Amino acid sequence: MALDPKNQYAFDECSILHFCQLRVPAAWRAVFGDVLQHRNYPKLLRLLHGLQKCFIPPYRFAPASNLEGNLIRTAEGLLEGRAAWMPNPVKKLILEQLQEYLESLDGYAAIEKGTEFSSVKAAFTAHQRPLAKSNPPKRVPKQSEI
Amino acid sequence: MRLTKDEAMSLILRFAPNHRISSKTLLNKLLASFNLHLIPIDIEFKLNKFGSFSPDVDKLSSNDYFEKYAYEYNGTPCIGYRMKPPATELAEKTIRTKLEKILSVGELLAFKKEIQHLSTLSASDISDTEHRKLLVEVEDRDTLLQKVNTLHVDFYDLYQELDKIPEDSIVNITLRALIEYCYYLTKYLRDKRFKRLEEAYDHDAYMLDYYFLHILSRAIPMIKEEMGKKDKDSRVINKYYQFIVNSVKEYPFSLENPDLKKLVPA
Repeated sequence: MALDPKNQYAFDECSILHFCQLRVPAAWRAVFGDVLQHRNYPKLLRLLHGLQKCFIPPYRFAPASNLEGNLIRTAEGLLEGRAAWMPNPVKKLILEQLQEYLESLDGYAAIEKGTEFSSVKAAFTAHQRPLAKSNPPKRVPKQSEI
Repeated sequence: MRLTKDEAMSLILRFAPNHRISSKTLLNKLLASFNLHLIPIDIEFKLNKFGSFSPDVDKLSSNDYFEKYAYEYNGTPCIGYRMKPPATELAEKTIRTKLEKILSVGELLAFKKEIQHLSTLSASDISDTEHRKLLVEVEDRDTLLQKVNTLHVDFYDLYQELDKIPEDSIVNITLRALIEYCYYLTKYLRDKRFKRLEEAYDHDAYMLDYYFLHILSRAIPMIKEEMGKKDKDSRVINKYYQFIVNSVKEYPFSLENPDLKKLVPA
């Protein structure tokens, strides 16, 4: 993926949480291994390293919306229902680590959420293009062919 | 969250009259009292005939926050501990960053007053009160066993009601985690730790067995109250959770024990 320094690269809370690599307590290592990470972790990490290499600051939306819901959803996604024994303490431990990770984050510039969208509207208006049918038009199957 | 040895020492010496503690035995008692206030510290206690005792306290040597000093009492050479100036700042930081997350303003004040009060008592006075409260004496064995069984039944009942707590917020998940963990912990205490109590005093016992029993019995009414509330008190729930889960270091029932599941088979 080509990174353009003129662009802003912003991450929502869930994506930021997927950057987190979690330590698994010894009692659950037989199920999860030593560390727990989202399946997109390697790709996201490559992207973050790419941004750092190009001196492009990553952005995050501020304030985060539904932070608690995102934390819980991320924890559940990481566990994928695999903790059959004492599932609640392990979920709590994952949540604690995710919270600590978010609190320790720096290096992200914030994109303030505002109610003023005129610049976004102007950008759309300036780049307005008529919708065109694909050429040649798609062949519609006849009733007898269905 | 667990207090380091330096943080605990700084707090004790900050609160103690004249910022001094007169003996190692008294220091042992004061450090042990953190457990009854549900403050996890990085020190493990064993049971001996004088009450809770930690070999870690023997190893404490003078550092940036406190120093040992020698004095004589009735002709006997003694060792005391006194505060160094950086301990004031460390104590304040510990209160701000750790204690205020688990203790209310009132609880923090009560803890401070108790440290001040205990600092003026003898170690044996503190030990007697502690033993009565924690049921460690041989003559209290029947009461102790009854308490272990009752607690497990109470937590079994709460565990059966776990599905009544939705997993829609962090405070609810913490409460569910607390109940589930306590259910297995009481099972472990009943089936392993207190299954065959010897007639004699158990010198190898973990003090955490007794601290946990005491704290778990205090947790039951709190959990029942919180289960019935729409707006739950996350500080109180978190205080119990942090102590019960995080105060262990070498204790067998620990999330850091790879064989934890084998300790409490279903």
